[in-house]
This record gives sequence, C-alpha cells and structure tokens, in this order.
Amino acid sequence: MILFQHATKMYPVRGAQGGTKKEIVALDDVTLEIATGEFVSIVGQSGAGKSTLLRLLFADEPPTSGSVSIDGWDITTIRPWQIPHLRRQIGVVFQDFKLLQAKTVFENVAFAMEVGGAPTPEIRRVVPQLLKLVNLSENADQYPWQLSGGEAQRTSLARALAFRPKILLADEPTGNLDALHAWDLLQLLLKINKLGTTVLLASHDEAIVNAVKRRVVTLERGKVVKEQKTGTYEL
Amino acid sequence: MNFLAFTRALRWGLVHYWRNIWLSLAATGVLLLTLAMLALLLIVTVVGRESLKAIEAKVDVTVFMADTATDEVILAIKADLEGRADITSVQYVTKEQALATFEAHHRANPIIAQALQELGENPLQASLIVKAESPQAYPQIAESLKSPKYQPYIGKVTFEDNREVIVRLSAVLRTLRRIGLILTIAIAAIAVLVTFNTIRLAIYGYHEEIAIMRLVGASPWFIKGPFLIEGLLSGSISALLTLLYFFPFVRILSSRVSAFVAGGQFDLARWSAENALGVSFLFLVSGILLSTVSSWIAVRRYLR
Repeated sequence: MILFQHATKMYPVRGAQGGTKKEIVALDDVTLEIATGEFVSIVGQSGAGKSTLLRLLFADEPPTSGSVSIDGWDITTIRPWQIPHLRRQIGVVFQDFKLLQAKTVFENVAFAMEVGGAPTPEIRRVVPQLLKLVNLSENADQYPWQLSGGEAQRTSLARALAFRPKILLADEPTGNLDALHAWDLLQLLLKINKLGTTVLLASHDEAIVNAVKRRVVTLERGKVVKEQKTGTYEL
Repeated sequence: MNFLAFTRALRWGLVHYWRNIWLSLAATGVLLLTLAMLALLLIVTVVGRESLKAIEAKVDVTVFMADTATDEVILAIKADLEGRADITSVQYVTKEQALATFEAHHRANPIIAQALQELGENPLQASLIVKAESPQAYPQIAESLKSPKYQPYIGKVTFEDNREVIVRLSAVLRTLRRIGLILTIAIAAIAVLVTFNTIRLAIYGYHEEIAIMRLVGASPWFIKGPFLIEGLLSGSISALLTLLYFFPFVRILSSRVSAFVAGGQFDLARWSAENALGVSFLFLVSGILLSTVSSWIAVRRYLR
C-alpha cells in the first residue's frame, strides 16, 4: 500500500535578478491512499504535479513536508544508501525512456537485474522472457539509437519489470509515441497490473486514460481536485 | 562490493573500453604522453643530480702543513677534521708522497729534476686534502683552521685563493637545484592536470548514463566499478608501453650523454639497469594511480 500523508513539495526559485527567493508549490498537501494491485491514473495538465508525485515515490527527492510510505516503509526519511534498495522494488517507465545508450536492449534489461545482484543464469533465463513479453525478442542486440520510439519505450518497460517490482510507475509513457504504439503500451501496462503489480500511470493523454476505465486522480496546481473510482479524464 | 558485483564491474569495464575504443585510446594516449613527460623529467633529474655531484666532488681544499708539524700532530689534526660532520674525507699526503707525485709529473722535464737534485732536500710540504659535504661548508672549515690550536702547524690553505670561485659555485649549484625542483613540480603538475581533465571530459560524456543507472537502483560502487576498471586498464597499458620504450631509449641516450655527464663518471644505462625495478614500479604506480584516481574523482561528481 502506498500512502501520501499531507505531502507537500516546494521548489525554491530565484527571482530574475537573483534577489527575492520565491517558492513554487509542486504538490500541495496531497493525501492519497493506493491499495496493492490497484491501477491508478494520475491526470492533470503539465505542471500539475504528476511527475513530482511519482518522483517522491522513488526517492528522487524528499517531500518538503508530510510523509510518503510504501508498505509501511516511511521513505520520507530514507538514507542515501537505502535508495538503491528502494529503487530495485519500484519499476519506473519514463517519457524519455532513459535507456543506457552504450548498452544493447538485452543489456539494458539485464543491467536492472545485475544491480540487484541476480545470478547470471537467472538473468540469461529471465531477460528473454521479458523481451518476449514486450515483443522485442528480435531487437535484443540493437542499441537504443537503433530503436523506434515504441520499441525504446517497451525496452524501458521490460527493464522496469526486470526485478519483478511490486509497484510500476509510468510517467507520461505514451508522451513520445504515436497512437498505435501508445495503445500497445497501455495493453501491456494493464496486463502487468493483472499479474498483481500496482501501476501508477501519470498522463495527460485523454484517450489513454479513458480507455483504462480504472481509478482516476486529478491534480491541479499540486492539489488533488477530483477522485473517481472508474473515471474518465475530466478537468 | 561482493565477488559477483566485482566480476560484473570487471566485465563492463572491459566491454566499455572496447566499445569506446577511440575514446579509450585517446585517454590511454594522453596518459602515455604524461608518463613520457615524467620519464623525461626523471632522466633530467638524475643526470642533473649526478652532474652537480661530480662538480661538487671536484672542489676540495688543500691544507699545507708547516715544517714544524710532526707526523703525530698532522695525524691528530686529520683525526680532528674527520670528526666534523661537514667533512666527508681527509687525505694525508706526506712530504715524500708529494715529492714522488711531483717527480712523476715532471719526469719529462730534466731541468726540474736537476734542480731538485741540487737542492738535496725535499722542498715540498706535507698536506691534508679536505673534501666537504657541500661547497657551502668550506668557508667555515677554513675559518676553524685559523684557530690558535692549529695555526702554528699550518702553512697555507688553498681555500683563500679559491674563495670567490667556491662561494660562487656553491650559490650557483644551490640555485640550479632549486630551479630544477620547481620545474619538476610544475611539469608534473601540468601533466597530472592534463590527464585529469581528459578523463574528466571522457566521463562527462557519461553523466546522463550515470544518472540513469542511479534511477534503476544501481549502488554507487556498482556504477563506479566499471569506470575504475577502465582507468586501471588505460593506466596499466600506458605504463607498460612506457616501460617498453624507456629502457632501450635510456641505453641509446646513455652512450651519447655520458661523455658530458659527470666527466664520463656516470653511466645512465647502468643506473637504469640497477634501478629497473624501482623505475618500473614508479611508472606502473603513477600510471595506474593517475588514471584510476582521476576516474574516481570524475565519477564521484555525478554520484552525489
């Protein structure tokens, strides 16, 4: 279970002349409970705080106030050396894929298992399965720059699944994809959710969110303004 | 870092070195140049040191003893001088030895031989040849010989004739050493900075990859490992290449410079053979340390 309690995130911004310090509120007193196995869409316009919400979850930065916990583990006060351990339990799919350019598709996925100390035979067995799941078996030896956007995003997804995460975060995963590839990716996310993984999908793509027909949380200027059980994208 | 993580770092380090072979060769090349600079510095330092030593060894002071001085007195003074810390050696030349040397020297000149015969007795003085630790010590030594304890037995001290030359030489030598040291430090610093910046730039190209590795949950050591292995590889390759050319180069150089250095007394090739182990160690350690420490510092920046 993921629990946000009055989570607030503020970014300091220097004035144009470097003078008065202002603060931009990215998340404003967000309290949110997400049960294990849920599929939740976080919607809202650019800058509404969707990415920030996800970033707090994989400890890219701490909340300014309030707390965030995963299965009772309060990650607000996480120590730097614990962060890698946390991240090995949370798969993240980014809008810009964030693939390692110097490594092949296979190696990118394998890397996620290597960092967790998975034995080599297991990596050799699991990675092809993951690539098959995302329909990339043919591309195993290609480098990221040889892939189309859809293939790159599916590689990113396969990597996110490599350590069998309990939670999968997808930050605008369809942002760089055409409608067809976006649809494919969504089907994969739903399939993964069916297998028991909690999925958080941040998106401003109306068609995608409407197709999911699951819980929708709407953010506006950092605040949760609406929650729907099986909602559609509404602002 | 456990064994599995270590073998993975080793493998990725090797794979990366190979996949980015041009970048790797560039880094190795810069290291090679740096080590060449250090090698040259080493040769210049050694040759310079030996040359200065040879010049210093040529300087000595002869203390001519008065005829009143008996053997015992001279030996006592010799023992006194040898007891001083700033004196390295004292050689006693008796009247007879002085005469023998003189005769040997002028054997070809019958007039001098005849003059000596006519004199009937040995006109030469016994003397002590004093060599000091450094030229700076001679004024003090000369001063102490003027004490009343020695004065009655001492005729002439050659130092007074050469005072100007010795004092000036010692000043020149001191300055040369200081300049040498400063140059050595400056050149070494430049070499280190160039290497460090090259490696830093090479790793800068990876800062996004490093950020991604962190997002995927790689621990700092898991990220650092391959970079350190790559550094180790460039360091050892450049050090081994340096060793490959250093000794043949020194051998060729030796025959050309030994005539100038220390009046032919110093054999550079023999020096390098005698210190081969130390020199090899020096190059290996500086090559490896330079590249791995640079990599380490460069990567660390992106791990904060």
